[in-house]
Amino acid sequence: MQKKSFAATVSGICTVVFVTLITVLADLAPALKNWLRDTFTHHWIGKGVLAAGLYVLIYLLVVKTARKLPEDGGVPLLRALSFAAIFGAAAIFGFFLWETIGK
Amino acid sequence: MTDFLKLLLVSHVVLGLLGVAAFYACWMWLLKAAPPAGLLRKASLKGALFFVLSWFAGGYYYATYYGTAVKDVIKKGQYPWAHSVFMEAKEHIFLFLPFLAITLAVVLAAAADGLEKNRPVKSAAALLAGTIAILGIIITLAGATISGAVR
Repeated sequence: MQKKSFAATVSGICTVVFVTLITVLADLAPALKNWLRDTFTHHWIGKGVLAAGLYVLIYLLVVKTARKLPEDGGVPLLRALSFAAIFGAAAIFGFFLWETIGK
Repeated sequence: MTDFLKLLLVSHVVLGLLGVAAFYACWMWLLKAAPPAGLLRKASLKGALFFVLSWFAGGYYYATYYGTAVKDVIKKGQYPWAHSVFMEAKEHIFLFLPFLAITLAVVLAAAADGLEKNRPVKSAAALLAGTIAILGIIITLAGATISGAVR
């Protein structure tokens, strides 16, 4: 895998994890949700803007600073991105299901 | 609902479906022994663009109209879980898709040629394309559920 692909993969993993965490945390901590709303006019817009910013920032950081790619070429990370998305989606769905029926 | 909002609502569905179709195609091509490099690059790039445009179209509708005019109708209706589970999950899981799509487009831009000789990248890319397509299908079905709950 080339450096740009590696950087995009790392960014993707970080962004998926970030979206999952901020989704859960913002619902559990009204202060965070209010901050997102007050700063970005809507909490969901804030999550999207921050996710996009994180993706770009990490991509640029990795492209600029990574000197050597891992020996496996980063392929396990590309696979890990898919699993992060699957588990993140399951976690988000499960969280809102719990909020609806469990609370 | 204004005509502009109706246009945005329809657009976000159509663009989302085009994105899902693009990545479903990438998934099927990546499962071939010799994936077509040119088609993979074009489809993944277009699919990523479709998801970003769907994000903006749906996002404008959601942020300016859904919260004030639709959400309460669903929550007070027969199927309040359509909002509290399906809409909440859909709007957040969707945030993954543009970034997953862009990542795959970047990987394929560099690696699409010679995938038949690079089986580890081919299989990891196929897994990601399939994940994007399936998540997109699930999000589409969630959207249909929400629409049904409004009526």
